[in-house]
Amino acid sequence: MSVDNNIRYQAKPNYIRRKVGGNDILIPVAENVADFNGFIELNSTSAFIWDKLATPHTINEVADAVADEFGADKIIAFGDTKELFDLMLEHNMLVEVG
Amino acid sequence: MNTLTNAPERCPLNATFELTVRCNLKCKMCLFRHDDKENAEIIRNELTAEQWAGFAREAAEMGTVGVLITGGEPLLRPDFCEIYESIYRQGFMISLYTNATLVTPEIMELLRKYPPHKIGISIYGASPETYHKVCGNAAAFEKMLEGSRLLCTLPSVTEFRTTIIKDNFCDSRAIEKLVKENFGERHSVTQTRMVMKAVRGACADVESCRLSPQDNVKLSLQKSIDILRERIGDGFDENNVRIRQENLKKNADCSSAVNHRLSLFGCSGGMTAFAVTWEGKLQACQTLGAFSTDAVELGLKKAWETFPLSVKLPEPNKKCLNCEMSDLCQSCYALRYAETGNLEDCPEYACRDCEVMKSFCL
Ligand code: SF4
Ligand code: SF4
Ligand code: SF4
Repeated sequence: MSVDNNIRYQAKPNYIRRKVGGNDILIPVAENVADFNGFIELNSTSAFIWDKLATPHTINEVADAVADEFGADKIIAFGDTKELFDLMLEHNMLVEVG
Repeated sequence: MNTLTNAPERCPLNATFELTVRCNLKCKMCLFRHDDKENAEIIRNELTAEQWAGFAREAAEMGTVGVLITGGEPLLRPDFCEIYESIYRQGFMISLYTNATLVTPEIMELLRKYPPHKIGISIYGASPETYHKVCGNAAAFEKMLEGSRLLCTLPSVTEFRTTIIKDNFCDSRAIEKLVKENFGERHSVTQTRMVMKAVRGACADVESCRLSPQDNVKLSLQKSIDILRERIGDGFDENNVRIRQENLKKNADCSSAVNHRLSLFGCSGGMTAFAVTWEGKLQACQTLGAFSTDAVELGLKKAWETFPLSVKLPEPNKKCLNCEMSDLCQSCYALRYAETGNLEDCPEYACRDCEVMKSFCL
């Protein structure tokens, strides 16, 4: 599944966000327990994106927020956000909200 | 004298929560089960569901990532569902060890909602007869199969685990076959390498039922010999097979690949891992009961922080320091303590095991 610019996505509730030794991690739970061979470590951008996706957003909305938050160039922010969206969709971590 | 100016960093990444030392089976080699006569007293002193929930909360705050829920038989606790859910909801990588004979619809409903990341199922024989001999309960064999079938429908990773003693020695290959036939080729059976004496007041007379060092070593080489036979046929004498010793790790370390040169016990125990016993003591691991702090009185965090102060180790044993077989040796502080009742003597069973293993080495 590839990212659709017009669709709003939301993070699945099947991950518990934890702080471990100063690092942000996601623990897959419920039916997602077997999707990863362990937990997922988030860097600051991916942690920001994951938190943003607690409510439904399109990729453009998230990329704009990333650019604002980190003072990044919009094109670069979109590239980074797309990379993470692709990864999350591949691992069944997002739901389409329409 | 060289003195360390800083203590090596400790981080409680992995926890073992021992919900009970009671069990519905009576395995002859059980490390932890107490005599049933003690059950009433044990039940009075077991931590409550609320206390486990509190420890789970504290562990999450302390940065614990992995929690192993075990026993005895954890599913035996009538409040298992409540305890399990409260631990799970904190967000850990959860492992659950069970003998799979007490899997009720209520437990399956819970586990479907909150599947563990890993389930360790213990299997002690390939027939009701062997279950009768090893676990004192023939009917448990069918129950284990039934329970395992249900547990295998969960998205969790499943690991079958066994311990081989005299009574199920002849079943060791049949157990592996049974698991593959019933649960799929991808499953193999993990075997305890060294069966140690029971710990912390557990009642099993392990010495009388465990394998001789000769059979124990043979058993640990059996899988490799079977693979060899598959590849090159029967044209070799299995008693003359020799092993080349490469990268054999000193000291069986149960849970972590961290460098433990500066550690409490030469392993992850008390450094990156800890166990909480059924009555609320914090130990380095489930088996090493020589040192503990009281997590009920101090709270989990303080019990973890102050644990090293409870550790007083004797001078290393000279025989071990100069031992040429130490690379092969399965001994660790927990095994030493279980086998000899102190921390300095040589566990004779481990030494004899080593000698046999060495005779197979090039
Ligand atoms: S080995 Fe496991 S199944 Fe057997 S008595 Fe001990 S806790 Fe129970
Ligand atoms: S003391 Fe032994 S059993 Fe305990 S954690 Fe260390 S190596 Fe494992
Ligand atoms: S084989 Fe015996 S003497 Fe040698 S290291 Fe092991 S316990 Fe010590």
